[in-house]
Amino acid sequence: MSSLTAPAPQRTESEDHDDAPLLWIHASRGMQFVDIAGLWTFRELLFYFAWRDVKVRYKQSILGILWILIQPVAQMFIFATIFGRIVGLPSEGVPYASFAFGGLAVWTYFASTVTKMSSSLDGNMHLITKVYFPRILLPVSVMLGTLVDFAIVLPIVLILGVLAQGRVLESWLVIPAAVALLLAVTFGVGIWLSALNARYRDVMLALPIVLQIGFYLTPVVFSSSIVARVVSDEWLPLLAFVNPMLGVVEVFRWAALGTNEPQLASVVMACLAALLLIATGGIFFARTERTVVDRI
Amino acid sequence: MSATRIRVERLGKKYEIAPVHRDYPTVRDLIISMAQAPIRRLFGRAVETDYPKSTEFWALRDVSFEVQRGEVLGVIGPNGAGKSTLLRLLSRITEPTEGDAWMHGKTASLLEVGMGFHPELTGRENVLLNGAILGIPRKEMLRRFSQIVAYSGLDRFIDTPVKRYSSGMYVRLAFAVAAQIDSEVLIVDEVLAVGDMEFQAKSIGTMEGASRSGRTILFTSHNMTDIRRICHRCMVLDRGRVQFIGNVDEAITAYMSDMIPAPTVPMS
Repeated sequence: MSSLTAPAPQRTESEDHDDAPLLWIHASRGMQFVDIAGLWTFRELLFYFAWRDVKVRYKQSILGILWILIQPVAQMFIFATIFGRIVGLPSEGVPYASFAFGGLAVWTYFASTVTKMSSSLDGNMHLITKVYFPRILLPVSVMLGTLVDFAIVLPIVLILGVLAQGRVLESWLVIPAAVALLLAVTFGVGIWLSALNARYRDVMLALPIVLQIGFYLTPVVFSSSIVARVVSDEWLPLLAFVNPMLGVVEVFRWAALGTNEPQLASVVMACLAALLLIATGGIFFARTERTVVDRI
Repeated sequence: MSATRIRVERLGKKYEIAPVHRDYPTVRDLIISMAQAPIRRLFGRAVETDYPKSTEFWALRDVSFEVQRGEVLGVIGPNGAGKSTLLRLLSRITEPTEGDAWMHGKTASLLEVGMGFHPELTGRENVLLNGAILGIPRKEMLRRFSQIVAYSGLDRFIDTPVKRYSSGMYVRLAFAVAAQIDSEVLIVDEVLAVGDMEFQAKSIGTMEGASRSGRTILFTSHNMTDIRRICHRCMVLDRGRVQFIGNVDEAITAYMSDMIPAPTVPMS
């Protein structure tokens, strides 16, 4: 009854004479870029991995998918109380709570995604030692899984935008580009971390600290005008290059909420940093991927 | 007409064995060794690291063979002979250090039943996930779903998380999915060793059927009865090298005589 006992797929004569092997296994040499085409070939598995992550995350919890909303909303209230009410930080002409929520939506996606991506290879060790698929599927599936969370948070940001400005904003048209930049930065950082973490577990241990520093180097809960007060103008592009999330948060918050316009320099720098991270990360990941099973 | 399905030429896999004191290199080791590098260069061997150099270990070396279409090649040998390494290389799980292999025809590997089963997911969810991992298109899986459930005999428990399954139920469900693989070339590692006798009989029967239907199979086992029953030829591996390849009975004899030393002291 099973397929194993059904006749093997018959090949035609011409295929038999054609001795071109379908698969050549050998030690690869030189520099390669990560198998982007494989994401498409293995798209079903990619979606299954993402689906598994989302399913498993909220299994056996009473509130289930509601947790996606509870976490950022709780954070918003914490920051609105501390920085909005007690410290009284400026919020670029929108209510502080909305301002913080806009920044948190983007930052939380970035921080939680790269954290999960960093352990995506060694966390799936039982799989990658037993079956072949392009390893890039694992970190990318994490990005897709957390994108579900982001897709649920995004409409709330938009509602806050309408409440703050009293109308639908033209700048919403820029949101897809801002999200694309967010994904590019996340992808670049995430593949670097996942490949590095397969070699050195220090990555996983250092990451929470680095992300916390990054949180305060990025204008998530305060305006970039405060950053400009501390860092002089000529150093700002460098800061934006080292921390591409600065540009991402600026452009996203402006697009969604109508806060101050982003500085061109920080957005350009974020794009450059994303390209550089993807180019180098793609090569490094491909290099690691070949024999990751032996190192893990 | 015979056609080569698997061709392996001088395949080898080298591992670096981490020396004692060091499970895997940390960034600290790296920084220390980088800092010492210029000093080492200047003063020759003046600065010796605390760690001995890592040693090489060839898990597999100089392995060559061919498998023709419709043939079942058994691979036997003691633990650590390189059987699993060979299967891993041919399954593309890791790259060889040297040599080449060519796979003709769609290849699937079954190195473990229930690969990627997630304990929190239900039987139904795991069947779909496992199918995707084995490379079976989703459409096919949905079409064959009721068949798979019937084969596993678990219809009452299909919506229960597999963490609540007994190990027997787990293996039955996993094998029901694995039996759906329909590639021309199959690489199977010891998976039949799990499960009870009834399960083993069923799975070996499935393998026999697969071979009769013209599939090419590379198969490892420690069970010589299974090897005799389904293999056409057999290869003996020992310490990473091919000791013998050819007739199944001769291979088993070669393996057994190597492994079981003749009793030297008569028992009193």
